[in-house]
Amino acid sequence: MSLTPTEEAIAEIWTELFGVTEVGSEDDFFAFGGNSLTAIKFLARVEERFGVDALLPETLYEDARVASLAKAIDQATASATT
Amino acid sequence: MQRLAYSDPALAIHRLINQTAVGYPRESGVPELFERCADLRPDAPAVVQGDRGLTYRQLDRLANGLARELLARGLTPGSTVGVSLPRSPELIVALLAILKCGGSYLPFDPAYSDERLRHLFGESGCRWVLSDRADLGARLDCEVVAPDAPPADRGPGVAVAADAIAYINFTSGSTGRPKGVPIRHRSIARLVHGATYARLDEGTRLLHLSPVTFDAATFEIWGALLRGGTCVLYPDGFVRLSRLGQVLREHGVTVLFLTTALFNAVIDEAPEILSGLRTILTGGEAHSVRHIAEALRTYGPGRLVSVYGPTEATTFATFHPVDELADDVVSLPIGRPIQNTRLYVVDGETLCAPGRSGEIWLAGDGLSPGYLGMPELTADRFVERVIDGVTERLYRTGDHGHLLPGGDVAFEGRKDDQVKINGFRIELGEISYHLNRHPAVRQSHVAVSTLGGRSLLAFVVTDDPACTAASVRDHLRARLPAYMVPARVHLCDALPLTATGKIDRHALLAAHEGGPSQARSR
Repeated sequence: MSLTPTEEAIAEIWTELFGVTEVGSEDDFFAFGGNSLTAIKFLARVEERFGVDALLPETLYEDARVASLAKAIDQATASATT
Repeated sequence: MQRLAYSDPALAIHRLINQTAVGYPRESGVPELFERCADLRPDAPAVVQGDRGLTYRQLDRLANGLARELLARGLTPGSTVGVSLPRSPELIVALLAILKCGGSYLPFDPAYSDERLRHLFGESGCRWVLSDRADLGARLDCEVVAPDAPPADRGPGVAVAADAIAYINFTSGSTGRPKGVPIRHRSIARLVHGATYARLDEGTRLLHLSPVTFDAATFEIWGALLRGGTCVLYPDGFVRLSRLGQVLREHGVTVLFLTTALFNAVIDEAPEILSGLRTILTGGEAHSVRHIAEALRTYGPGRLVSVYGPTEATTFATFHPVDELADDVVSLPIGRPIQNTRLYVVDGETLCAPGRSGEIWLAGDGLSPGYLGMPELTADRFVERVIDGVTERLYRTGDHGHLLPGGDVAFEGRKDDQVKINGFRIELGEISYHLNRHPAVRQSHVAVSTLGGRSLLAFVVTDDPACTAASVRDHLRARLPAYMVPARVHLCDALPLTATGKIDRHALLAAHEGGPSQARSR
């Protein structure tokens, strides 16, 4: 299944953070071994790419699947530009 | 009384590094020290968070009111009071009010399991909780008081001795029981007065970022409020670096403490957010020289300080200002003892000369009186020895190291199974204890993976086909704090053994680091 551009971007960050090679849209940040510290790094990289407040920690801790995170980022960036 | 043996060079170097005595108010409790600051500068900012803030007078009056309320409701001086409040001005009011009553605060996280919380409350004889969550009363069988009493001009008039217990922190225990570490008022005064590791005074704006359940918070809160400075509270439950940068900038924070792991993350992702600080303290785990070197290049000399200390000796025991770094350095020393603290490197019953490895023993007013309800462990870890003609009460840290010729201490690590993950102190045995009580688990081994950052890893031997990695993690999650639940659990048929019959840790880790399919299992 192909990933959306935002999902691709998340997958790329996870590849760097976790040293994994494949990330699917249903994969979960915490199942990959993510913790409070990798969350801080991940959020920093998301903000670098998509702007401040693109993804809030609360959202990550609620549902950490790639697809859900990408959706949240898309919504935040859409509302930030309108 | 047992004497420690020593050679002349060993004695000389210990005498050199242990000249740390400076005068400080060792007979005053925290309330008295705070009230002195409040009397001197009542309108100075004591606590700020976002656009909320309390002056010293306001904080003092609110704490007076809450202290009186607690006593009116039947709290007796000397009682332990659990505290579960978000990082907020109310939290600081609550801590100060408990101390004004002559009580001890026990910060806890309500996300802990009932079993763990009942253990914490049982060990510390805690029947009172300050919280905005009324549901905790039934859950923990205790009296819950909301921190919203009206302010009062006068305190409750309880005399609080300097050697009374101010707070209790719990730390991981290898027998499956967390260890309660009580800390005296005097130990807090010793930490923040005459500080050699950072300037703490009326101009200090100190960030409170750590969870209040950890002893870094002792420094972050009282390092400001007993010195006339301002405690700047990080506003959110979760840390975000963009937000952290904003808070540091907007509130003009001068000093902060970051755990090693968080410090490394900041250096990797957003080093610019620390550029306005006067002092950056970092510690908790062995430092990464690459990150320290990067930080030194970014911030310049005179601002970066490495700190070390176990909870049992009140937050910080040693410090090492990082003002230069040789090109060939492979590890950063933990430095020398802070003010009013002494350190000995001991091998067997002998003080070590420079270069000889030994266990790090600490002495001074920072030492806890011992673990709650664990007299044997206390007698083992807290000992008395005659050193250089003086009887010292000592805490044997279990950390190993050696003295460098100039007197700095080089850290070597531990010989037991205590590890640090992202700043959290964890005894692997405590995790194994709970793993092995899972009905389907026949054998287990807990290790630390360094793949993609340090994380916990569990190997579980089971012959129950219904047992899944997820169910094992759920079992642990119900019993342990989240930071002690292994990120990955591997189910296996047997643990590989070495030729001598011990668990082959290298073979296990190699299997874990093998393929993505293995690494992906939960």
